[in-house]
Amino acid sequence: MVVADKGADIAILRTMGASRRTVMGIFVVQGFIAGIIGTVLGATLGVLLTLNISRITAAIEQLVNLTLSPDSIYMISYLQSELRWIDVLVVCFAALLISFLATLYPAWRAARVQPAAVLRYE
Amino acid sequence: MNEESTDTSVTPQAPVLECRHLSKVYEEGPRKVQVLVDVNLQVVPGEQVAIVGSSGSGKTTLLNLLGGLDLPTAGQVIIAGRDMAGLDEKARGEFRNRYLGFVYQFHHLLGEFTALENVCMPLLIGGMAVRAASDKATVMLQRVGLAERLEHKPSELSGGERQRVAIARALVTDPRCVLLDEPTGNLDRHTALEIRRLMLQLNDSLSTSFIVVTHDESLAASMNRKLSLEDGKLVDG
Repeated sequence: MVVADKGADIAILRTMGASRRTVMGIFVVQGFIAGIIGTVLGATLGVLLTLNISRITAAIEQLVNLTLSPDSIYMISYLQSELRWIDVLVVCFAALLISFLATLYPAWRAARVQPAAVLRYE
Repeated sequence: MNEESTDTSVTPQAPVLECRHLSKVYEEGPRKVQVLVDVNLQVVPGEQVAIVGSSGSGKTTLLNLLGGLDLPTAGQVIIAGRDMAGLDEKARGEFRNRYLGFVYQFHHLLGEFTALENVCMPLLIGGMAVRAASDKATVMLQRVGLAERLEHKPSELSGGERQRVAIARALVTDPRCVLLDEPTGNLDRHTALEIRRLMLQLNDSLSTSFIVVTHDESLAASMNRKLSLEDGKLVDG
């Protein structure tokens, strides 16, 4: 989507002498920065949720006046959670890797923009 | 067509840009469209050349070939003694950065950046340090009368000011030749006149050659030389 929006910008950078590699680098870095921000936000929210899941479910139960897991049915009547930092690290690494891989195709497409063709119709 | 190139050979200066027997054929399915036929042109330092022609006559195609943005079907484009077709894409980019500037009908400024940053861009692409690029871009923006607009983004500038920034961006690398595609085509009459004056003034003070593709007859008439593209051929206009 960004590549489609930025067609004219990419084209004008190419007329100024920017190489395909430079253009590809811009999109990989931009995409990866977005991935880092998303991963940090996601990890922070996930950790907070894990640490407070019992309190959050209790608050919801109180709010809707309903017991989600009544002790008459379940052996454990509250949601248990355990924060494992190794899991957090694995998930963060996987998220960063996926966000990096996801930048490659758009960046490759950005590098293929033909300035003459784009600027003619802009 | 060939005659006009011999006209310029009376000057002892070596051409900054030259094309020899340039042809361009586009293939649209089984159909072949010959846009340019054996075009010859020499542009000497500081020369202003206007190229006029009806819509679809191949003016922009010629400008793209001269700027190394497209490759000819036959013939050569020679800039600073090098045939552009003999260079790979990366080298053509470096050549454009060093020897050419571009100005389009639409300014094509980068919207997220200030006027100063936009003018810095070709210098930074060429490998200049940020501080030096900023100083040079500031001087160029002052030359085009935008000393008070350095930190303004394109959306905060008028149409004429944006085109001035685009001209500053094209000239900041001290190119040998600037290729302008309808530079006044999107401006009102008064602003177009201002831009024309600015172009002539910059051409006079710098030794940069200008090749202008235009429909604007008054702009074309103010150039040193006027050529016309007719049936794919470049003739004295």
